[in-house]
Amino acid sequence: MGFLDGIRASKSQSNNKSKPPNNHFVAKDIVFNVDYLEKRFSDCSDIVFRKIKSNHKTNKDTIVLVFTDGLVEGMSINDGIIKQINLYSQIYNSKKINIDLLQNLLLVNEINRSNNFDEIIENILSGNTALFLEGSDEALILNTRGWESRAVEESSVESVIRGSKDAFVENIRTNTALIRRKLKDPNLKVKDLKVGSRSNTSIAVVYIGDITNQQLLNYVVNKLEEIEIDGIFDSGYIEQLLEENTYSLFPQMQVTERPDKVCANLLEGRMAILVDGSPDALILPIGFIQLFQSPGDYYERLVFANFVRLIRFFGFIIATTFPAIYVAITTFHQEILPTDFVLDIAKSRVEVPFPPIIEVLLMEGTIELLREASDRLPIKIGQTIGIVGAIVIGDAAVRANIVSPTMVVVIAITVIGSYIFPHFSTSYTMRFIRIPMILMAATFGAFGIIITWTWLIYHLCSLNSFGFAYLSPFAPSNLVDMKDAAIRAPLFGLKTRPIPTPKGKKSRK
Amino acid sequence: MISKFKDGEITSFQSYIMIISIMVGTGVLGLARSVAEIAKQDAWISVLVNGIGISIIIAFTIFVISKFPQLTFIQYMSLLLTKPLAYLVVFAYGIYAIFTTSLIIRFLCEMVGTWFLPRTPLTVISFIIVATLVYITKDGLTFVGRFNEIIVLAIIPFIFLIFPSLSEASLINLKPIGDSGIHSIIKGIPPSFYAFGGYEVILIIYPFISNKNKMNIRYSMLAILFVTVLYTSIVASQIALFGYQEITEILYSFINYLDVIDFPIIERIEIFFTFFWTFAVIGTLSIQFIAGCIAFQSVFKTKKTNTFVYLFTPIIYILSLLPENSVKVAEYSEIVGKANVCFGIFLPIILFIMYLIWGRKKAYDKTI
Repeated sequence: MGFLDGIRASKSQSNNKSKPPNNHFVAKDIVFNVDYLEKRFSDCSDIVFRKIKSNHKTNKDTIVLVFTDGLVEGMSINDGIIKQINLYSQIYNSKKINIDLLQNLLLVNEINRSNNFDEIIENILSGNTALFLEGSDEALILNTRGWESRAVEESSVESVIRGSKDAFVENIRTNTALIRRKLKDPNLKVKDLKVGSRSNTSIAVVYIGDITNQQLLNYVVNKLEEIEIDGIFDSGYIEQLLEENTYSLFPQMQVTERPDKVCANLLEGRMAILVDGSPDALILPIGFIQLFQSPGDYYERLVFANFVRLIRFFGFIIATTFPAIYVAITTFHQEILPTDFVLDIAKSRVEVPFPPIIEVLLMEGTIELLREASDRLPIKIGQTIGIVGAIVIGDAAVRANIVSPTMVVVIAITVIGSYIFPHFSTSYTMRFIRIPMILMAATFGAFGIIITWTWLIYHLCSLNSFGFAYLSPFAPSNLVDMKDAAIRAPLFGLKTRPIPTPKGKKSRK
Repeated sequence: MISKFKDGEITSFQSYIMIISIMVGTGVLGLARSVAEIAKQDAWISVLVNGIGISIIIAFTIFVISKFPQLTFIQYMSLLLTKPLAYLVVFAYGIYAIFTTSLIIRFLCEMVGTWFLPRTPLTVISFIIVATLVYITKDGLTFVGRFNEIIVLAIIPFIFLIFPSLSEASLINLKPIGDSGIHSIIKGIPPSFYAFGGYEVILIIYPFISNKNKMNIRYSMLAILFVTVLYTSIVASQIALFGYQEITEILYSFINYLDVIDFPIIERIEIFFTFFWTFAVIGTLSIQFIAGCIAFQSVFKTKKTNTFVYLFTPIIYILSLLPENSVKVAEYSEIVGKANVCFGIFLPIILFIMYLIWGRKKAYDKTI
């Protein structure tokens, strides 16, 4: 919705604001250049100015290297740059060094030139080394990036039993490399953008050139360029700044740590956004059904994969509605259950002084407290909290007649049900829906549940993820795409891409 | 364009679903009783004949409208019936739709009051239903279409709930087939018509279909036949269980029909049934209400449908509370049933005749 309008608006905006021209350029006088940079980097103790005398006769600094300590690989500066210059000046003592010669001389894998100070500063701050030479009005930008980063590890929040174990890390280059490793296709495009006026965070829009909807791509790139914010520290920022329906309970982009999931989605014609410093990639556009899918579904054999998928749907119903059903039945519709069963429940509730709604809310509140507490605490203490919580909730609360044993069972099943989703973020949605559902059930019984579900279904029907209907392929229904929805067809049957692709690219070959 | 259907457009499939969804609703509960009163053990034949007749009518209706694919409801009506008459008919349809909506709301309120919330005042239940209805219809027909695609699944339990009680039924109650005579079978058609009402909404929604094709007629007929088969099996199974003498004593025979067999865990299956039935009725309501609002929108030529959605909100709320008791509700639904016959049978026939008289030439002119 509002898809084209957004593009039009963004175009007119970008016409209005164009960057003021920058007049700071590299001068031929090296002293001026160094002074200028020292002024810009005053009180930045991590910026290193390394001066090299290439000509021993004049005893003047003729080459200056500027880099950020900690973001560069010391070895490559020592061996590839300083050593080479020194060797050269020792052998050809009197020969004058010019910039073209340097470019051939240095042992660095990537060398660029620039005369704009802003560009140079940006490069220095992202780990490159700038080289200034006396008499040259251009600086060399040498790729010396190398910093401490986490090694590629197994995903902790999205683990699968079968399938590759690698997960994204904080380094965007490693992440794009992980994707490229799996898709060796020149059509796999990685479009780099810088977002954040102060953080200058690198963002990569990853897509497959010939199967991605160009209009959607332009829209997303435009919207990313439009973002006005000083710092981006996680892909969560991008998700929230990009999504169209901020107040919806449902995520309109999928968050994943898994390169294989990103690659599979790219092949379906979707695109991914990677953010430097964040191990979570964003996938868009998505449908509701995707929240229930895990890469493992495709790796496992057909029957079991589908069984697991159906279990997840069951989990969704349980996580959202089960406590509400309990409240509705115990408050309004006792007659729906067999008499013996009702009597058992009633017996277990005889000593409990609260109505079911208070009981449920007490338990829900405790569970949420426990969950939040165990998130905050160090792992070792977190376990203690878990045990204390289990005893308090499971046993003591029942013995103290604060809640009934049936209630404990209901809440326990619900909590388990809300954690069977392939990605943790989805469980927030399930946990949140539960509360209005319980309140409505406590007020209007089964009718309250019906009404809440109606609102929920309608909300899902009206939701769009970047113009892609959220409940697709169910509403609007599409029989062709239905084969990878609630259950999936055998892999040889999955021959079409589920989202609108350029002409002739619907089928997967 | 990535979002294919917007600005009030629906797909062909959604139109078929909406036909099913608007038809299956309140009428299904008392259908067997009202028909069996007249057609006795052959009530199911009346229902079957009625359904087949309606599917033929809808075929003619779509045949006529499909000659004017570019025109809206009011435009093709103006061509066929002359302008003042067309405005009158559309206006009348709008009023009819609003009255029907309020009546269904009232009916739903009574059922919810009976089965779920015996002590809650009708004003509160009605308020919640109206609020939900506004929420669903405020964004226009596209989303009502999508919503119904999901909500129509609530009909599936109806189908499965027919089977368990069959073990207690006996075919002897349906015999001798055809003994009540052709005369009473035909007389049984009008009472069953109320349960079938609503398909005339195709007059309104057909112009909004974005991918009109030649299959529209066939699948719309299939949609009606699906409902017919469902109704026929419901009526036949209920008569087979109760016998036609007994069934006339039961107000909502479907609900009592379910109560015959004991299910495990769920003691009162009718509450379970009412749960899904409520979803089906909300589906019916959403289509009926948006159709009325679209009719008024085309008469008064406002830009947005939701102007009328908001305008009619207090009206349907008050109208739904007006009848004093269930007897009055039944009286009003008879009146609505008669209006339904006008829009569901006479209007399509008149349109077809007018099309034969002078519409063909006009349709030809329009295509050029």
